[in-house]
Amino acid sequence: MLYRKYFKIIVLSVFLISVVLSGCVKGKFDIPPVIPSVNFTANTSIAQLKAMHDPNSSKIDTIITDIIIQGIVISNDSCGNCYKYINIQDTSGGLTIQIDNGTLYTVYKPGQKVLVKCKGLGLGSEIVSSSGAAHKVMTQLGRPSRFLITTIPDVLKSDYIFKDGLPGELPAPKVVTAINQLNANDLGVLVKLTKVQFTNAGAVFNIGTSFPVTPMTDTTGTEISVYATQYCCFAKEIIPAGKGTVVGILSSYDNAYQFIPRDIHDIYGFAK
Amino acid sequence: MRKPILFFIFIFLVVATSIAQKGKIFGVLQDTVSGQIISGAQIIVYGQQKTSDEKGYFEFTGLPYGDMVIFIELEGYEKTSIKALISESNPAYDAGIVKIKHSALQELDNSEATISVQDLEDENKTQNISGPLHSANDVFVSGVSFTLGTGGFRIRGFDSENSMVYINGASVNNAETGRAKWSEWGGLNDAVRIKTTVSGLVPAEFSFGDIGGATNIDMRPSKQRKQIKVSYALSNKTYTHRTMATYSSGLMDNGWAIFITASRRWGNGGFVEGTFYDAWSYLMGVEKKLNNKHSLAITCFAAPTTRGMQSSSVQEANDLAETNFYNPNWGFQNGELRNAKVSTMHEPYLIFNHYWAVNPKFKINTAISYTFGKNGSTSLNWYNAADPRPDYYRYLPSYQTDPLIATDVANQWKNDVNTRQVNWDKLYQINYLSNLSGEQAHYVIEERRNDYKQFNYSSHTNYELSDKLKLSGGVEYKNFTGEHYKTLSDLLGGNYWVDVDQFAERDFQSDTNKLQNDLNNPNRVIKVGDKFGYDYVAHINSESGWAQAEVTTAQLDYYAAASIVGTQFWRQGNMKNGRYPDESYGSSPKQNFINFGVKGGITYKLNGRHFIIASTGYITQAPLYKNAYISPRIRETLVPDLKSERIFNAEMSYIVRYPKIKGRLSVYQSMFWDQNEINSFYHDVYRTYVNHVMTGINKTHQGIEAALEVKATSTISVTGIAALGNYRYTSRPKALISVDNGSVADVTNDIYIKNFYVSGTPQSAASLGIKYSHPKYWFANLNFNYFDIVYMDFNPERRTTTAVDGLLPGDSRIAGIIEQSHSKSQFTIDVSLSKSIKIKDYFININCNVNNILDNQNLITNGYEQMRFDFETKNINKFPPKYFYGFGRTYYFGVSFRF
Repeated sequence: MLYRKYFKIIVLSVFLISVVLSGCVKGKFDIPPVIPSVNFTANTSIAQLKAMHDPNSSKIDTIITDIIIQGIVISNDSCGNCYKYINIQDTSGGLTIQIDNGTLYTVYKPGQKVLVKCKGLGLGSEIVSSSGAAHKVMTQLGRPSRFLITTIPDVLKSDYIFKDGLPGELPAPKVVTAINQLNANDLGVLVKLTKVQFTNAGAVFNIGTSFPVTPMTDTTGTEISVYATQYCCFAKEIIPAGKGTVVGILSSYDNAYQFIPRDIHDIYGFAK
Repeated sequence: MRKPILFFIFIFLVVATSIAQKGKIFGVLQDTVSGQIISGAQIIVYGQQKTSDEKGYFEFTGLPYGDMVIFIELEGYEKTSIKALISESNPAYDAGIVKIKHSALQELDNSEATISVQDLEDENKTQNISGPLHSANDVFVSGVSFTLGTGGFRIRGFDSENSMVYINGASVNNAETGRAKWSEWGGLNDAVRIKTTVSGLVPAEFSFGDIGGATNIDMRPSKQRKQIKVSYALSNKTYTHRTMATYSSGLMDNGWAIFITASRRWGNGGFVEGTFYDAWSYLMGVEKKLNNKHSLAITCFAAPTTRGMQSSSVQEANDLAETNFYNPNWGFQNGELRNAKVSTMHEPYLIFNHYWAVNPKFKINTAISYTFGKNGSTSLNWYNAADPRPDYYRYLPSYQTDPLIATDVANQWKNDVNTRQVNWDKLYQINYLSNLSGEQAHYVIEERRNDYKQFNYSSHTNYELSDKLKLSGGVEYKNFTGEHYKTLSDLLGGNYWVDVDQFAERDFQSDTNKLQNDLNNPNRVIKVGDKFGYDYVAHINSESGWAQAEVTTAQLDYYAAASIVGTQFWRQGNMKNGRYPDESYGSSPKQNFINFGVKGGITYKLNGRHFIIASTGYITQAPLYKNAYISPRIRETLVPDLKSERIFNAEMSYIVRYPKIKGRLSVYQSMFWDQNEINSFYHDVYRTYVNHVMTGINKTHQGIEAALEVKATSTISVTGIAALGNYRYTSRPKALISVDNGSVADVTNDIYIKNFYVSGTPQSAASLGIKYSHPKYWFANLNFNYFDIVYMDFNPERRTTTAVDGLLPGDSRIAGIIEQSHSKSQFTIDVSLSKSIKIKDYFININCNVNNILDNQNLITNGYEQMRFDFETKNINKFPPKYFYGFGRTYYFGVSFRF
């Protein structure tokens, strides 16, 4: 009878031990590597890529060869004045890349070096507004869709755009004292306009209309439009008086230059 | 309120003075093989139901003379019936020692459901997870729990808040949700074998009950079968492995009884990918029989569980993932699978019992219970960043208007697991970049905590005044606190989080107060473990009393019962919310409700084999806490015109009980008035979160239930059950839309849903089962199950004038917007095989079940329309419904040793 008693105890103990030992291990999750890198290099400059498209043409040019460009991100959509695109720049020029994501600054910080595999993407310079009217814009890279360039779907962006390293310094902006010094090569490039003056100082940048531009003049009186959408973080800020400095991305709309400050820190030095 | 009780008692005392009954039947139950006495078995004679006591003894009195059948049922034993003749010459029938044969245990798990519906937009739509209902004596109810539960079938379409659950006489329904959570004792299979269930408003000994019935799980140590048992099971449902061990001393000679059981269930994803499972359970119970009158018992149990959850998705995502069990919650982190929604629970129960037999006919049982602990589930949260959920509608091919781009997106979904699932590495990278520029984390894991404490006192008495009259009654007191808050669980490599509301930040750009979640700690920097977002306590107290009289006569049995409940609840806010600074902090005014219930019924005994039962009841219920406040997380504002809900129920059954044929046919009608429902979701017109409160919801549940069990031969029995239901909304509720951050004034709407179907259960279902029991302890079961269409939970916003505004009569889009969608009817087959072996004093049980053997993976058990609706384009496919699917083919293999 004694062996039976022990047998029970042994069975129970073996059983309990097996329960304790057989468990699945659940430790802390490993932290993944956070510094991205690529193992290929660019083979084309931004200017060479842009040259594949006639900015006056309304057709799109789909890239069918293995073109790779590289550049530094100069845009920042955290304030909302840049929306659903990044703008990159290399020594040859700058380029807007449309991506369907409203918080791109969390992924592509200003100063981030990226390489873009352009095959399958397209170049175009016409957009259609919500009213259906066609407008000319500067040459952009995006996803060809029917007769237009549209945003690259968010889930596909990592198939084309590759980050290399951590964000670094931004390229120095091109300093311009007179608006007529700007030329087509400056489109998509970070530009600093000095000694400029807003025409309607005292108003707000955007009172909530879809009309997003505010005129600005240089010392010669040459005018350029400053873009501020009603959704951006400085829309309700008062337009400063006097002369100061504005930094931003040079763009174009309906064949006229348009200047895009990324946030309120791009507008400074205005005399009271 | 006392008046109706006294009135009923009086009436029945008068009725009870009819002719006296002399017949008596008694006996003792024993296990055929081991010779052990069997307590806790259900015994039915002539419509009366009793339980064998700890000595296995049972006794029925007040029976008319004639042929009687004694029915004996207990889980794990073969159903047994014996004939008994009582006559004037032999008025007391001694059944002697009645031996019953053990059979294969049908194992059910109390916590099989894995689906979490805690997506932001439908937090209130927790899937109804009711545990297996058991009724040893009702063919219909026991059939449903084993066969139709998998298809989402709910008896009479009732929510589990309409059923009362007790353990050792202590109420375990959560005062805030109204529901009993069976997973709190999941894995304690050996502790829940003895149950008393009454369906509908049938009188119970331990409670006034509710229209969905009442169950008392008896974990009393002295009643548990004396045994040592270990078991192991392998399954592919929610867990892979299960081990259990049980020791029960039975009532020992020294008056003590000890009951210990523990288990572990674990696995890395059962039927649904990413749903890991790690559940333990333990129970310790000690009882001391002080003397013949008094026994004391203490029982402590819990089921600490951690598990990865499944969320439902749209059919488009299921199709791309090529499975209806696509789970968007998980993704790879550094190559390791991680689930974003992890639920953790550890809610111990302590129950103290006093069993007092004043005399054999007069019993007073008291239970004092306390439960406390942790209940949380994690979720991704994000700040000014892209939605991290892979199935966000903008990431799906259908969002693309260009078919070529849609094809590319679809291919990306099919070929790239990081597109289809959470891309953890990307989230870490984004947070790391934020650290470099000193920003707050963009993605974090938060844990939403619902920590409950519930103290319960209940005492009930049963007094058999005479052979004809039995009085029962009880008092109950409940004190409940529910702590609701969020804590930061993982910064995902980020440095910190700030406690502000990003929707308020956007809507009130210039107001730095409004965006604060806690004005007492503005712009608080949150680290792992800190509370943030919201923090409030639900306080609920209730006191109740009930009384019941049951009268037994030769031809007719009557019963009547009444209850009265006082409920008090209030909200205590621990944060001063920036949007509602005056309505969020501190204690709110207390809400008081007094409610009552009355029920009564009659059993007409055509003879000992045929019965007609009719019963009816009317109950009022205080609104549940979860339906009382518009947005309890952030403010104390009540639902407008808050009032008690009213319920009426009437049913009639015809029951047949022959030794070889048992059956029931019932019709019922249940009506609900003045129910509330609150949904919170992102509203496309207001472009922010809204709380959508529907009031004045009336419903009618009506139907027919039929069940028949035929013992065709000594080895083969056939069981058929069918439920035909019609569960409908019968009113046009009012809706109040209250924007969560107060940026838009409240809006009132009519919701056009009269005659819509109640969702979440097949309206009808049926099952046919064949059981073969070989004399050498072989058992085989074959079940055919049919599930009727399930109506989807609807979006009330689509049933408004605004939703169809601008469409002309006859526009085909109108039907698409307003009509209620439903699933297809389905068919499944289950089989099970089992074998019991006895070697000397050891018993080995082997169990093998295969459910849904045809592997039908299209069994929609529930579903809901998304609350988002595109009012501009009226495109109902922009935010299509989400579905829950019943598992495909699943198996369970178990073996147990008992000695």
